[in-house]
Amino acid sequence: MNQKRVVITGMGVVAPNGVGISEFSEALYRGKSGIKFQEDSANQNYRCQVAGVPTVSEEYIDKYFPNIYKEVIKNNAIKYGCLAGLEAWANAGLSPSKERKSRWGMVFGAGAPGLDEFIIDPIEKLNIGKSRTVGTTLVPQSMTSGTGAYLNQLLGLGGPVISNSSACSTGSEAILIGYEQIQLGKADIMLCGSTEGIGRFIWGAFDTMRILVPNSNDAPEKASKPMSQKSSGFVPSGGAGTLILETLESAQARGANILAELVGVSQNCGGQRNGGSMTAPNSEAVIECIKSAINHANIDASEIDLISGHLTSTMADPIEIENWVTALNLPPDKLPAINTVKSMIGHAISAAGSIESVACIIQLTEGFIHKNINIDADTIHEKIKNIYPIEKIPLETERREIQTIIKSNFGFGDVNCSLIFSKFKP
Amino acid sequence: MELKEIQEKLTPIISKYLPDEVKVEEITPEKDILKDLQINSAYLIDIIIAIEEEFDIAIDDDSIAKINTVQEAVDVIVSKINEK
Repeated sequence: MNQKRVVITGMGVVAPNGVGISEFSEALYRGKSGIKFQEDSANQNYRCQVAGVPTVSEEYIDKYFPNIYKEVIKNNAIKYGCLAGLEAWANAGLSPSKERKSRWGMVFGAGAPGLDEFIIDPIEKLNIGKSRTVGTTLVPQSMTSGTGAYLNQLLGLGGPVISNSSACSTGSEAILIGYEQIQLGKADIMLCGSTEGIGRFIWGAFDTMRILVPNSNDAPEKASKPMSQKSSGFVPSGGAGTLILETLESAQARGANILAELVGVSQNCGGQRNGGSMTAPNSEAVIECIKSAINHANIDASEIDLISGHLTSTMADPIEIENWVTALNLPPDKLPAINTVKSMIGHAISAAGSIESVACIIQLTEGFIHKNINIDADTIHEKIKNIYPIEKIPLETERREIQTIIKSNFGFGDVNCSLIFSKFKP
Repeated sequence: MELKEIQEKLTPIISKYLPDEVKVEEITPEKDILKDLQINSAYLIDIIIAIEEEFDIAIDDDSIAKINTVQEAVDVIVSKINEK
C-alpha cells in the first residue's frame, strides 16, 4: 500500500501554563510553570497538594462556545477538550459545517472523565435519593467519548469519530489512530486530541498510589523536576491538546497552512512481561517502539534534533533516558537534545501526549528548543549524567531551527507510543 | 399563580438551552420547542427538571408527552399547580 503524506494543518491547546497557542508558545519559550498550591488537596489531607489547572477566562470561552455549552458543559475535561478542538479547527482554517462531512473524522481520547470534580454534584444528588434532579448531562459527560460527542454537535464530522483511552499514552495514541485512519483511506481530515480533567478524585486516586510529589507543597512551581536527582513523584495536571491531521492533497487543495508533517508512528505494549507491569514499562518494548517509529519514518536516528520525552519526574526518568540511548544507538555527540514540557505543567496524564505534541509543532514552526526548568548542572540525576551529554539537556531555551522531533509516551498497562514530526518539505 | 407570571418564569428556563441563532424574543406561546426554537432534544428533560424545581411540581411522563409548544408547557404547569 502506498503511504499517503499526512500533514498537520492546525493545533489547539489548553494547558496549565497557557491557554491557546500563542499564550502556550510564549510560556514554553520563557519556561513558565503552571503548577500551583491546591487548597482542596490540603483539606483532603493529600500528600501532594500541588497541581496544574488551566486558567480559562470567560472571554476565552465566549470566543469558542455557543451560549448553551456555557450552561451545559460542567466536566472540566470536556470543556478543555472542546476548547482545544475548536481552536485547532479554526487554526486549520476550517469552520463548523451545517452539512455532514463524510470525509472528515476525529479521534478524541480521555482517561477517566467521570473522575473529574464535576461529578461531586450529581453523585451527591444520587446519594440522597434525588436522581430525578440530576439531569441528562451526567451520562454524556462521564463517557470517554464525551468530548468528541460535544465537539461534533458543532462540527458535523461524518467519517470515523473515535474515542481512545490508554492512560498516559492516550494523547499520542489519538494522533497515531488519526494517522492510521487517513492511511486506510477512511478520511481526508482527522481532528486528533485528548483531554484530562482536574480535582480531588483524580488527584486522590494517584496520591494514594504514592507516585505524586509529596515534598514540594511549599514550592509548587519547583515541584515538577524531571531528570533531577531530587525527582520524587509527578505533579498531576489537567488540560487538552489537539492537532488537525490531513492528507497532503487535501491540505494543498484547500490552500491550508501546513505546519509540519507526521512522518512516523509506532505503538506497542510491553505485555507486562520482562520488567513491565501496570505501572512500569518493559524496556525492551520501549526500545522497540522508538526504533519502529524511526524505521517507519525512514530516517536515520542521527537526523533527529530533539526528543520530547515522557519524563514524568519520577525514579523512572533515568531508565527512560537509558532506553532512548539504547534505541537511538548514536555516539554521544550525535545524540539529540532532550526536553519535557512536564517540568512546567506537570503530568497531564491522558492529555500529556496531545499537549506535548502541540509543543513539538510549536518548536518546529517557531524554531526553538524550550528549556527544562527545575534542574541545573548540579541536580541532573547522576545516572543520566553518566549516559547523556549534559549539554544536550537544555537548561535555557535555545533559538534554533529544528527539522525533526520524536515524541514518545508510555502509559499504565505497559503501553507505548512514538510519533515523529518533521518540518514540511514540499 | 398568574398566567403571565408562569410565562415570565418559563422563558429564562427555556432560553438557557437555545442555540445561539435563536433569540429569547422568539420564545412565544405558539412556538414548538424542538422544531421552532431548535432546542436539542437531549435537553428537553433538563428543561422539565428546571420547571419542576421552579414551580415545585412533579411532571409525569404522560404530561411530558403532551408538551410540544411553549403554550402546552404552560398548560401542564397550570394543571400541576392546580392539582397540588
